[in-house]
Parts: sequence; structure tokens; C-alpha cells
Amino acid sequence: MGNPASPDPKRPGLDSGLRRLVEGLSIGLLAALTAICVLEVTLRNLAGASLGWGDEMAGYLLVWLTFIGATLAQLDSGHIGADLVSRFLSPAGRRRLERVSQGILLALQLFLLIGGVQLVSIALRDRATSLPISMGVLYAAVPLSALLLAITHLAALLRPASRDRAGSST
Amino acid sequence: MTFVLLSGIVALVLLRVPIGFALVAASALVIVLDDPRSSAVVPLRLFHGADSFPLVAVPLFILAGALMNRFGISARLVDFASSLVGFVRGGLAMTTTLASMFFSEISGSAVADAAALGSVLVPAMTKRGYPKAFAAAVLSASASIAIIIPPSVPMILYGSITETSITRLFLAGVVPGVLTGFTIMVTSSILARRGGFAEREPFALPLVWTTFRRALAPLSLPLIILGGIFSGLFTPTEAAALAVVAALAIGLASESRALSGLRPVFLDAARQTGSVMILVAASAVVGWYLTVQQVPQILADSVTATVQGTTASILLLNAALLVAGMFLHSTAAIVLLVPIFMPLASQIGIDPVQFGLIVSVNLAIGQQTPPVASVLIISCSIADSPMDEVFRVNMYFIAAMLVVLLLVSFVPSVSLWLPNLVLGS
Repeated sequence: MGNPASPDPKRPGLDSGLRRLVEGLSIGLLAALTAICVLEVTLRNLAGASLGWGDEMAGYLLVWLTFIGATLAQLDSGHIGADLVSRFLSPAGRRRLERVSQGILLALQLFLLIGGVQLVSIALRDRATSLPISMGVLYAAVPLSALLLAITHLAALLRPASRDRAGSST
Repeated sequence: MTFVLLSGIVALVLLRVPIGFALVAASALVIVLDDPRSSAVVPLRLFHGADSFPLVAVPLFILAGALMNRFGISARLVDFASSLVGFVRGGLAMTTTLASMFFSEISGSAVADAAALGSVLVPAMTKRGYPKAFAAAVLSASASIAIIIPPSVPMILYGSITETSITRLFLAGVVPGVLTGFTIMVTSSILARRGGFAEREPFALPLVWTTFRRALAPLSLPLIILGGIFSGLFTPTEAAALAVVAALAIGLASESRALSGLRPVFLDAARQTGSVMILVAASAVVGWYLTVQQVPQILADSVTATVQGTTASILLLNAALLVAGMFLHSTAAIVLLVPIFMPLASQIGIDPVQFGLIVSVNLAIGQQTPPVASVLIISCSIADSPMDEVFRVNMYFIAAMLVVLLLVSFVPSVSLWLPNLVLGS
């Protein structure tokens, strides 16, 4: 699993607003996913019935939880990574490496944002199999997460070097 | 292009890009270089990589484990295990292994096991005169069993990637898991006796009864989870949902305000889900590209053409998995390597369920071997002991686990006997 670091409660403004949004979405998605699975298993075993749309909905909630949870993990430096090089660097070298990593991640998220918006617009008229929801809306998990992460990486890059947290682990 | 993809992944990981995003970035680069108009392909593959009903069990088991930690279930299991084996020499070390085996039947994650049990057991061991390095090594080895004993999150990932029955994989993990636990207990007992820090507690039947009553509710959870799955009553995903409900019920029964402290538990579970599942989604993008390029098949053909004999091929597979486990987190190793190695395993006649266990035991060892050793690191941190000292003790446990690995690799019935008995072959 990841190695979540403690969130920094002192980060002001944009960061804390974004964190509240991501945390709220994460809790809501996990609670909804759990509720649907419990409801489905209860109905199946006690009443021999099924929601019909439960499995498909659970799959889509998992996808949303994947992307929003990944955003939360990034905010808390909780992603799975391999710290094979930075342990041999000086503090200044580690800070430079951190900025390079943030730059690459920003470029990746911008790519996913553009590709994700294209995907959403292509699929907007397609319907999910058993749910009255557009596939475009469901696919929006990818560009939304990419947008939130891009903002995070941009904010980290614009932050003065003195405020960088050296050694935040991935 | 395959070379660009693989070297890109390595370079990005070395630059401290999280592995999940390194996979996406490198595959995005080669996909766009192949066809500049295909930028929507990557988000599409990512989305469908995570969209799988069997994988819904992953966040649910993670949440159940986090709830167990929150409600102090680990302490109850430790007390019960201690009353059972505390009278043996090195009893507290064996308690660590036994409690970890109980807890593994709920949590499915080795890091969760180490964190939950270590905070209770490591201080208890050091207080009774066990060296810190020994306490950390026992904890690390014991917690690693979690990915072998069902329900195991890495096994859910393996089953989902290879389209192998998760129920069959869970059943296959029982015998190797118990064997691993047994070898670790024997090793710790020998080391404790040799080191002269073995202590004994008197065996007291009333204490066993008292601690059993307190541990009854958490002990009943594996019955619900595993009994339900193995009897065919629930799917692994449904059992995971019930485990969450049961964990909440245990919490509510023991604390009147249990619901008020759930926010950090849900956030922790969502964070862990995000870090595991983004790797799974990313591996779908890489896996799709490698399959289109026929890389796994080319690898399998070249290995079987070069390496003569099944034994040599199995040893080679094990060596590759052990080395990969030293450098990769277990989730990353599964999502990256299993799709590549699976055709080779099939070609040399290894059953997919048996291969799942070979992978699990290798990764259980890998998560305790530096440089990337998630369980060893957390154990060292809890015991406040340097990693090199802990690793020197841990090598004995790794040697014991290698014996189990050889058994699982070369004696198929060690893993396949139970699933064949329960579900038919």
C-alpha cells in the first residue's frame, strides 16, 4: 500500500480548498460504493432480488474513487514509488529532483486533461448499459482528476524553493 | 518503441515520479509517437483498466482493515494469541506470527498488519528483553504472510489481471500461508533460544477463555469472510462489503461514539485505494501496448527456446520475481510482471492458480528485502531499529520462507490440493 504522509494543515488558500473538495468526494464515493455493495448482497441473499444496475454502478464508482483517491494520495505524498536515487543526493539536489518530478507530472496531467476532455466530448451521447447516465459524464473522472492534479503540481512549482518540503516521499 | 517504453518507465521512476504515473507517462509517449491523433486512447484505457467488478473488493477490504485498526481489534487478537502460545520459549515472538495470521484473514494487506500489530507487540517484546532488531524482524516476516493468507488484496489483483477465480486463489493460499507461519514460528523460537532472550509465561486456561471471549467477535470475521466465499454463498466482493459492515458493528458494540471518528478511516482507505488502483489502471495502458507488440509471447518463446527443462524455467521465473520484488512494491510487481510472465508460466505447464501463489510468496519475501521493502521499513520504524541490523536477523526468516517458496514452486499440490478438494479440479 501507499505510505501516506501527514497532510499539512497549514497550507493556505487554493490548496486547502482543493483538499476539502477531494476529501469530500473521496469519502462520498467510498461510502456510496460500500452502501451499494451491502444493499446488493442483502437483497440477493434475503429477497433473492437484485438492483439490476448495482454491479455496473459499483464499477463506475470504483473508477471515480481510483482517480479521486489517486489525487488525494498525491496531495499527501502517499503514492507507491521507489526512492532509489534521491537518498544519495544533497538536500539541494533532492529539491531540484523534486521540481523535475513535479514538472513531468504537470505535463502528464495536462496531456490527460486534454485527452480526457476529448474523450468526454466524443462519448457525451453514449449511454451506460443499465444506468441513465451519459458515458461522457462517467469518463469525466479522468479530466477532473487531471485538472485537480495539474493545479497541485503547478502550485508546487510556483511555490518558492524555501517552502519546498525536502524529502516528501512517494 | 518497446525499448523506449521500458526505459522511459525506469527513468521516470528514478526521477521519483510515482510508479503509476510513470507507467501512464511512458505509455502515453509511445502511443502518441505511434499516432499523434490518439491522445484520447490513454484516458480511455485508464478508465477501463479500473472498471472491474471483482476489483471493487479492493477498497472494501482496505476499508474493513482500516476500521479494524481504528477499533483496536489487533490488541484483542494479540491477547488471545499470547494466551495460547505464551508458555512456549520465545512465545511472544510466536504470538506476533499467530496474531498476524488471524489479522491477515481480515485485512489483506501486509503493511496494514505491520502497522496494526507492531504498535502493540513491538513495545511488549522489547519490554520483555527481546532485542529491537529481532522484534522488528519477527514483525516484518509475520506481517508478510498477509499477502499469502486469504483474503489478499494482491491476489484479487492477480485474479483480475489473469482472469483466474479469486475464490480458487484464496483457497490455494491457505496451506502455503499456514506453512509460512509455521516456519516463521519455528525460526523465531530457535533464534530466541539461541539468543538467550526466550521467556515463558505460565499457561492459564482461564486466561485463554477470557481473551477468547474478547476476541470472539474479530475471530468470527474470517468465518464470515472466508466461510461465505468458500461455500459459494458470497462473491469475494460481497464478502468484502459484509466485512465492512461487521467491522462497523464490532466498533459500535465496543464504543458508543464509534461513528464520530470515521472520517480519517475513510480518508485513509480512499488514499490507499487511489495509490493501488491507479497502478492497476496504468498497467492496463502498458499491458495493452505490450500485448499489441506481442512482447509477453516473444519473451516466453525466447526463454523456452534458451532455457532447457521445466525446473530451470521455474527457477528462472522465481529469480526474476525475487529480484523484481526487491525493487518494486507488491502491487506494482503484480500489475507489471504478471501479464509479461503469464504466457511463460503457461508454456512450462504451471497452473494459473499455482503461479498466483508462486508470485505471492516471492512478493512476501520481496517486501522485506531492501532497497524497496515496504513491510521491513514500517517494522524498523515502529521498533526504532536500523534497517541493516533488522535485515541481518530477517535473513533467517527469509531463508525459512524460501523453503516454502520451493515447496509451492515444485509441489503443485501444496497450493492446488485445497481448491481442488473444495471446488473440484
